[in-house]
Amino acid sequence: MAAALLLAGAAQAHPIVYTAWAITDGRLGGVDFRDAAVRIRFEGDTRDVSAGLEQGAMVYRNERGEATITVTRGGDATTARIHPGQIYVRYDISRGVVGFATHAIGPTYPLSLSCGVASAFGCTPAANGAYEQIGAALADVHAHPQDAAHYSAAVAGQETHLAAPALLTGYVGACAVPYVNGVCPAMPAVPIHTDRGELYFQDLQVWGTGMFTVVNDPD
Amino acid sequence: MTARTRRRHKGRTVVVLRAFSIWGAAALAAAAMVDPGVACAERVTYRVFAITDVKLGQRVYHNAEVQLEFVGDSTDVQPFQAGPNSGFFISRGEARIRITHSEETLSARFLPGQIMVAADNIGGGAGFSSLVGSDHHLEAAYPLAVDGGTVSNYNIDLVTTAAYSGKAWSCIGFPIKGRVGGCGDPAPYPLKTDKGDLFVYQTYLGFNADGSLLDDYMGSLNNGFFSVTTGDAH
Repeated sequence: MAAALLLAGAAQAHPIVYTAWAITDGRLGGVDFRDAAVRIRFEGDTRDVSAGLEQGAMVYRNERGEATITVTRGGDATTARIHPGQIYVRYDISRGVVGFATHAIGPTYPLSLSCGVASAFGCTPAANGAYEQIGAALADVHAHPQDAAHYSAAVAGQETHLAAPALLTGYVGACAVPYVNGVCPAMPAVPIHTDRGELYFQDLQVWGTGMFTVVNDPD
Repeated sequence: MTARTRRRHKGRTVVVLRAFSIWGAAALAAAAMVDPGVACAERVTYRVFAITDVKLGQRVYHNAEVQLEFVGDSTDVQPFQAGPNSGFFISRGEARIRITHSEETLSARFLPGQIMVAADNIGGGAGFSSLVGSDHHLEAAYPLAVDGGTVSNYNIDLVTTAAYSGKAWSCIGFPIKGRVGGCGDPAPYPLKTDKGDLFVYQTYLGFNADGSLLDDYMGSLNNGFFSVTTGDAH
């Protein structure tokens, strides 16, 4: 990454919460989960948001915070604390990719939302070039401001540098290696460590969609 | 956690639905035919979840976590046929909404007779529909339904435990393809709860060059989840 720039001055810094939701598959503490509702929540501070160029794309990060994962299947929910430094928040505004990343495995694992950059499903824009997910739409408008006319006014209001409230949507990517025939072929060799044991993702849902929010933490 | 539970509903009857229009079906009436059989009652909990805009009572919530829940009995799940579309629905049960915003969570119960859960296995959608207005017409994708994504698997029977994702719709007038400007205004159609009137908004849309909605799948830029849980959900 090119020289990162810390964005928020101390006077403007405030607590912030990043949350991603998906229906996906994997293993936590030795127990496989399938078609589970997964929520990853990361509590941080805007003073830790940085920006930099990664392979020509503007990328925002927040690497300092406390993260939990909740896996819900039917009426059963399990919450685990992710050990510090295991994951960080990453938003590639140029490609419309947002989610959680790991230094050990890669920038789109364990869980990212995109229009095909990280997921198995590359959504094709409509005939006029409009995209069908908020993350991709914002990337579209970022590159082509005139395309804002393709979207309702509220979409532009979701622009965020990880320091302001927003809702971003996209297709789910939860795989450490490239998808094969739309399915994640394998779990990674390296786990994410939690207080409930080792965590892995292996997404088996080709067209799974998800949500990512940035919310000011009232605490 | 990997095994799917499958419990078919066996209590069957013939049903005629008025104005039951789901995902592309224009038919105003539908006849559902099923065989009589032995009922095997199971509690079924349906949930649909999205981050969206709602108004409950006098308060408006932007980008709130919204979960609708409907608890019914598997014997009340019935098939429907509406024009070219078909699937399953359940209208008998108790429905509630939970809204979480800025660390605050509030719940409300829907008054009876407004909400039904449906899965259209031709159009590829499922979620919470409603009977609204003085004519009690059916709004297929209001207050909150999901299409596209994994919910378009065309095999949802509403009694098998499973979870799906897709495009979130809170759309008056759905299906909406070709309509300029998007969905209708929900203001004339308040849903009645024990905490006041409820409105859910379709905030994030994509348009064609002429201002019409992209289509009934791509037109929503928002996502949501739909789940079916058979048995004890608590």
